[in-house]
Amino acid sequence: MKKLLGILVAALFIFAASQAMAGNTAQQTVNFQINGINEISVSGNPGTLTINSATAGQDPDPAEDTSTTYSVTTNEENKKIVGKIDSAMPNYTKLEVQLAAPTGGTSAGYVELGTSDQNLVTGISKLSEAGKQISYKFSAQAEAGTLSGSRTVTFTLTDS
Amino acid sequence: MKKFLSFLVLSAFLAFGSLSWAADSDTQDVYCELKPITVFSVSGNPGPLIIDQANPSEDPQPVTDGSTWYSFSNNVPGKKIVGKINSAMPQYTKLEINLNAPPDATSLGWVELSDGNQNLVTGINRRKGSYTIFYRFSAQIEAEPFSTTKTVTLTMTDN
Repeated sequence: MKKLLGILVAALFIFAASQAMAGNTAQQTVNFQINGINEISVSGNPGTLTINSATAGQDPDPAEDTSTTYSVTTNEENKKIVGKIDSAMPNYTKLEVQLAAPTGGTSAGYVELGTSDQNLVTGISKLSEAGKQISYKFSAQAEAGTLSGSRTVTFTLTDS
Repeated sequence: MKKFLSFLVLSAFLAFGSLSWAADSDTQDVYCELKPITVFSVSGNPGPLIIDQANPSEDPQPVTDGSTWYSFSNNVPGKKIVGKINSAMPQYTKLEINLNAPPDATSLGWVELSDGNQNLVTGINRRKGSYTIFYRFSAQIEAEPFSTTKTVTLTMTDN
């Protein structure tokens, strides 16, 4: 009986050992990386900005549009949005833009657009937000006369 | 050596990739339109013009008022201001008006008002501003004493 028990224990040991020898192990090294991602997009073009009224003795009433929005995504810190137009505005007129700031950012309020980049929103860090309002204001002095034209406004998300 | 070269190429690729993501842009087209605008207003009514003095052997002394002004905003070149009263003045009296002119424009000075439009200021270009209106009421000794009101209509129109 004692012998039988010994044989059984030995057989079990051998079986277990053989099982352990049957599995191979393999290893993989997984490299991962997140690049800096900075994305900005606008919802479309604003409506026509038409100036057609004034109070006597004062410059014409400005025209405004708040119908468009922008979306922004960045996984980096301390970014800003700048903006410019493709060519200068006619004499005695100006085109201003105001961007609502995403969380943690600071809007510069209404900023007159020129052909070089102007800061519009600063202090943007690691966020993803959509539907932030873009406001345009087109104003003119009486001396501007009558005119019509279009400008392409370029918004860029870049380093502060 | 081959491995090292591959590593270099991969590193350069990754570096370029991260740089290309550093800034992103989008554009909007904004259409602006400035329509012709001509608006004109006056500040209110002048005070009563009362003649009650004269020197011996002369007509009564005229009275003047310079308490009101006109304002306008105009972005169309070649405008003028004309004026008229709603009905003729009584015999032997006249009501005159003199508008200060904006720069580059020409005031015609004192102009006797009638029920037909008279030029008061010409050559008004793209400008805004406020300028004084002067009235002068005068009468000859032959005029009967009376009191009345006239409505003066000032219009900014094409030259």
